[in-house]
Amino acid sequence: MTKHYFAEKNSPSDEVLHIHEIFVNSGDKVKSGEVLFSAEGAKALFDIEMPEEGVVTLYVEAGAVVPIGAKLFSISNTDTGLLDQVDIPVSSRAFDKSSQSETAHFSEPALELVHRYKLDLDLFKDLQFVTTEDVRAKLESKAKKVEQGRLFSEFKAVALVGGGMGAEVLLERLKISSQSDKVRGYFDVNEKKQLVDVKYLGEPFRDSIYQSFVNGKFDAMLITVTSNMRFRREMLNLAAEFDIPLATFIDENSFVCKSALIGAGSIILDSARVGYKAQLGKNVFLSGFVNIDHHCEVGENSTFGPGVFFSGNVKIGIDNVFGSNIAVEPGIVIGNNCKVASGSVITRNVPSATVVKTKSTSLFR
Amino acid sequence: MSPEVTEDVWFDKASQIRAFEKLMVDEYGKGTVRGTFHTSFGQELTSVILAEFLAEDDFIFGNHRSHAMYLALSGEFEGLAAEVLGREGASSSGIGGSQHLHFKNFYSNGIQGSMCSLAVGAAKRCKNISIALVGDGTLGEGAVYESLNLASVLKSNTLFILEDNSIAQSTISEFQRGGKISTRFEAFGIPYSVVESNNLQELSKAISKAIDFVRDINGPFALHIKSYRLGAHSKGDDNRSLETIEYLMNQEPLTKRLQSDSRLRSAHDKHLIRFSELISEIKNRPIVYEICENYAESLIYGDEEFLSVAFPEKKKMKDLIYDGLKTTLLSSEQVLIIGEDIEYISQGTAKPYGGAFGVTRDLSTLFQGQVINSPISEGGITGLAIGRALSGRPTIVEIMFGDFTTLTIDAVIQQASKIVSMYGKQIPLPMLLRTPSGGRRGYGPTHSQNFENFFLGAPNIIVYSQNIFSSKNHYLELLKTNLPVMLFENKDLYSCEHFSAPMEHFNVEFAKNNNVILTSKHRQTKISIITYGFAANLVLGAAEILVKEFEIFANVMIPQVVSPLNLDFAFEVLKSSDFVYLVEEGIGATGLSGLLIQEINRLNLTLDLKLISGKGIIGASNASESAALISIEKIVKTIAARR
Repeated sequence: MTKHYFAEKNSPSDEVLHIHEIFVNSGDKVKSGEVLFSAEGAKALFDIEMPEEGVVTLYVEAGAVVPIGAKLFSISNTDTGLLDQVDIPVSSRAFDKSSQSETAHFSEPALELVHRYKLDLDLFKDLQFVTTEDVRAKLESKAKKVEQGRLFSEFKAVALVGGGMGAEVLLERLKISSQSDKVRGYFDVNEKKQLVDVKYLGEPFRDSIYQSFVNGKFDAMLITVTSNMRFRREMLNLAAEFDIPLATFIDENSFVCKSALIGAGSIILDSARVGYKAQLGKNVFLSGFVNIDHHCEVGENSTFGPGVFFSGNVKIGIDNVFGSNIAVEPGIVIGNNCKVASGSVITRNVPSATVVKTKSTSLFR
Repeated sequence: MSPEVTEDVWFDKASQIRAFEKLMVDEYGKGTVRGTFHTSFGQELTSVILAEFLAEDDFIFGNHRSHAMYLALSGEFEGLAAEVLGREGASSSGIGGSQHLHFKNFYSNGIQGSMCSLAVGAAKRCKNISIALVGDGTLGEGAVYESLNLASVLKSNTLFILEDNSIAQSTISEFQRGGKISTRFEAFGIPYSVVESNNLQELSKAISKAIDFVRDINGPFALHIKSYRLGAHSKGDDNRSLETIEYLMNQEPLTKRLQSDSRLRSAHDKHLIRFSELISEIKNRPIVYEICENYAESLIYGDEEFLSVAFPEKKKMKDLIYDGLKTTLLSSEQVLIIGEDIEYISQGTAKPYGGAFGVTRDLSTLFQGQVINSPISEGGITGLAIGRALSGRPTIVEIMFGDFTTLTIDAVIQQASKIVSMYGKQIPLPMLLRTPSGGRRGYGPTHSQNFENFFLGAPNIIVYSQNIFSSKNHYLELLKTNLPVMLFENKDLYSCEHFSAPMEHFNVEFAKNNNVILTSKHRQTKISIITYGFAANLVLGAAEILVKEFEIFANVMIPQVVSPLNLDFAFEVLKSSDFVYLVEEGIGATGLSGLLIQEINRLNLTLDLKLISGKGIIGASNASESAALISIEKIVKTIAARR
């Protein structure tokens, strides 16, 4: 028998838990009462202990920020150890779960998405049963409304979230346009040596970011993490929740049509192009030489490596990741949460949550 | 009539049989007929005299060498000749052949031993008796001793007639037999007498005495008749010396009389001419083209709805079965339930019992004499039930564990399955064997298996697998089909409440004969699962997880009768499916998959099939048991992995 355990509120105001440290590994046999995680809620640091003896399977990594209700770990009874290695988590709750709860008609992956994107459960009350497909459809309709933010130049003090190469590149571009002095500092899990001129603001915890903002340390933030999609999403949600403005950075050497709409928090680097009546959602990251052609619609939080070429009228959902040197044919529709490998040539529509890897087409057969 | 006149009649009848068999054996020599023919040469008079003492309603169970008995009872020379020659007018439509004959209450079968238990079952506690004809060679069969024990315990008025011709096929039976014959019967408390068949008056007296003893409801009796086999075992396979045969011929009354009595000899010659003409005439008749019917198949594929649709009852399955058995017992006083340890208060004990799983509970008290304990003798009581059903009385056998059905296979496959159709017409057999199967209780290798698969495809047998949606009325309805039924219950199902399965993601529909179709409620799907019995609970549990955790939707189909399998009810769903999983608790390789493929072919479907089934021997420890059985986890894992 396998029992599953989920992130629970330690105090009433908790909405996410930060998992700071993990003291066991998946597959360990752990005794009842041993500490599994050190976690932090809105108010306090606390330990999550093993509720009963068994073999533990972890679903989170150290440093993760997980919403309340997300699966943390499962315990399988050691008696059935011979049965199978627990690689597909299966709960035994199917039989005893109360159907009265308001989330009973959600599939678990759907519920996880709802938590992650902080959607209102009421949005789905008319549906008999909610799957990830339904949640993504709602997200897509939400993503279409582009919230145009203010440009970087309109703010006085901006905090970067993420001190990696993204931040480095951005700072370089800001120096060129003499705006780098507006950067008040950066949040990251640890201090970065390469960012010599910029102040380290600490770890990117909800509370610390919020407190710095409320105390006037900065008046806008800019998410410079490009690879960790989950973290980008967390930060985007955080900004929305606490009304922290997101600064939009459009490089002076980029080409953005006047008719284009650029969502708040987006970064458009040099030599990128956004065509006629094209729309970018919030927090979209365009590397150099990306071309988003006319009438394209790009959902929020998507990231683009260098040399991604969208032909006209391409519509993509949210949270998509594009590698480099990718071509997308006109009129293509791509769902949410897709990952597209470098060098792909997309000639067909792509459903949500797909990993796309195509061979490049050849003129000669 | 004076003894002499009576003897003349016997000799005339016996000489007819001899003339007939002689000519028939000649036909084998000519190569006009095929198969085997066990002649009664030397034993005709015993049959003729025995027939004299029989009443209309007496039951007689013969063996491979029963022409004489059949002919003495029926006079059906023409029918038997046509049967053996495979021509029109054949008594068993050309299906039974020489060894499988039936006339009124006479049945013969070529398998040794288990006919004895049928005889015990057919015996009623009244003036009508039941006779088992056994040869000396058959004394090696265990079924004989189970029958003797049952007859003795139940005080059944069965007469065991041992026709001892002292040779078993080619072996002198004395050398293959330990101990004495008399003590074999005496050990079971069955009165025994022995008689030489060369003295007809003595023989007649002995038969009369034995039959009177049984007819007066004094319990079983064993009559040992020392007789002569003058012919070969079959057609020409005699390995005895000519001197031996000559010696026997000099002893045998009919041979002696034919030599000394010219009147009988001329009558015998006339019979030879008459039968020779009859055989020539039959040989010119059209060949019979009857093929052995499978009446269970006809029923399953027919229009008749023989199982009613279940209604949910707020009851545990165990109590539901109790109610079903009660309804069946109430339907007729003729209904009997027999099994090991099923009586509530049994003789000589103080506390109530009522079945190893307590299913029959107090039924033995409520229905005195209709619910009875049996010795540990699964093969015996199954044969008994078949014999009892043959006599028109519906009988239910409880086999304590499904695993023990291996001990009943001879009775079920060689008797029940074949009797229904091998005599060329349908013989009603209202007999039901119910047994709990399944593991998850730690009972280990011989008490945990699912045994449906060993009976799948057996002709005329209905294999019914109880599931959470089964109705209590099915017990009575199955008996009313007049076909032998193997009804598999499940230990784990006993404690489940009726209809208590996770069904919120399904539209539930009941098709004909209580076949259940659960179609995915929220999304259309190309995945279908076929399952039966307790596995349905596991599948529905798995389906719930597949929906909730993996967003995989599936249709589930649960046939009520698994053999013969008719998937017409599932056709529409299967037609719109691409992937079909068969989930069964038994060992997959010998399981329902064969029948399923046959059905999918019949319905002209193209499907991607995958089997999820148990494997290997079911161990007792939690780990080894889980490894051999299917589980919700395994079902989820297999289906989710394929996505």
